[in-house]
Amino acid sequence: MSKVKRGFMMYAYSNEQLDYAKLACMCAASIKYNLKENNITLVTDTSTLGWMKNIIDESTVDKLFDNMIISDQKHPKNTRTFNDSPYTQFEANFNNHGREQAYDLSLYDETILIDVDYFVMSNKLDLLWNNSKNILINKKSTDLRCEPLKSDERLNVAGIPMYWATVVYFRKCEESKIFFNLVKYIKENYDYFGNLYGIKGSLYRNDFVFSIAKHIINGFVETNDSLGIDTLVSMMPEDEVVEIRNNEILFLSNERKTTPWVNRLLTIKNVDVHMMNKRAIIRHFEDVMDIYGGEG
Amino acid sequence: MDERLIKALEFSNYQKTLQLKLQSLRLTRDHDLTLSYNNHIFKNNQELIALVSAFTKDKTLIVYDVNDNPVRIDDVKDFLKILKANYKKANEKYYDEFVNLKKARNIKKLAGVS
Repeated sequence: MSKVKRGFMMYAYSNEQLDYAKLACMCAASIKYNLKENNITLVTDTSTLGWMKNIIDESTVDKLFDNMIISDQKHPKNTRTFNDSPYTQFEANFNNHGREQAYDLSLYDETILIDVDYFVMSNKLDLLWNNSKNILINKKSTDLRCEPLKSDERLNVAGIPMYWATVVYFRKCEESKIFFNLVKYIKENYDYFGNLYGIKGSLYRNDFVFSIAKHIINGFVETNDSLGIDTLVSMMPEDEVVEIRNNEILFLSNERKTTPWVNRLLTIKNVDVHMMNKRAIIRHFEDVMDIYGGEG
Repeated sequence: MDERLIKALEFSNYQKTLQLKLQSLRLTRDHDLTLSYNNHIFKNNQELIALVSAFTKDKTLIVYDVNDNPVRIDDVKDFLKILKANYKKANEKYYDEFVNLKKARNIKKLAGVS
């Protein structure tokens, strides 16, 4: 069997509050629907996979995910406060460890490591393949209204730029190996690096770790390089999904900065969206699977 | 509340939603104008097309990709052809949606809510 040269890697570990199995299925379905190069490897654990096979039939799981890597790792305590619209907050363990192994686990020559709350509604990720750079990570992010996420531009007010580990392109080569080994090292010494780079709080985030690694790898200077395919458009945790359409979502965009009791209708079409309100998209699981069908 | 104020606030709400819709159209247009050539990603725009058009008699040309890296284009005419096709497609779609937007007289129609 010939080796597939290019593909996506995603991690899904459900917690007591969020169904990451559903998120992974929706992300995978949107990739299969929109992208030419759409081979997908899912890294998950036995319980998440077991639940996934309960919610959709096994043939669909096989269609969505070309490869499955089971990693029953124990997740350390990493409590995160999640928002679901401006009116609901809940806490859950953020099971986000394991990305540092992506280079070792990847079956591809070129990999796009993608978060399962990234919803693809365009073919722009197809532009990343065969890139002249070995590692690409997004530095720019906006909300649905195209306003920059000012509070997330840097790790702290006077700190290094924040890189979003939501979508990471890498090629198997020495540079990427060094990068991911550095990510592992930073993770092992997270308390130290968190202090050194002025990260507030104790929450472990891949964005922070990748940002620190990028800063070190770049020679401790800021550079302009980013993912290349435009800014990362993010649905904020206070926003809501009203309707799912074909490569289009009707949102209620919350005016969180000025009048948080006001929500405005807004459509995003043919643009990929980082769905930070995970419950909002999970509520539309059936609609997503009907439209995107799990078909390649 | 005074009827005049109610009407003004309703119109203000419509205007705000219209602005967001326009922004969304521009976002889609900008995404459509992103393309890949020679393993580099470019942001297509009028300036790039004008620059490349000025050098069609040359065999090669140096341009900058989205990360400001210099890229050698070995077939200027081919690159220009791709840029023009991409620009035309993205902007015709943008224009059609923009024209449709003008016909939407209320928030529901703007959002396409049935």
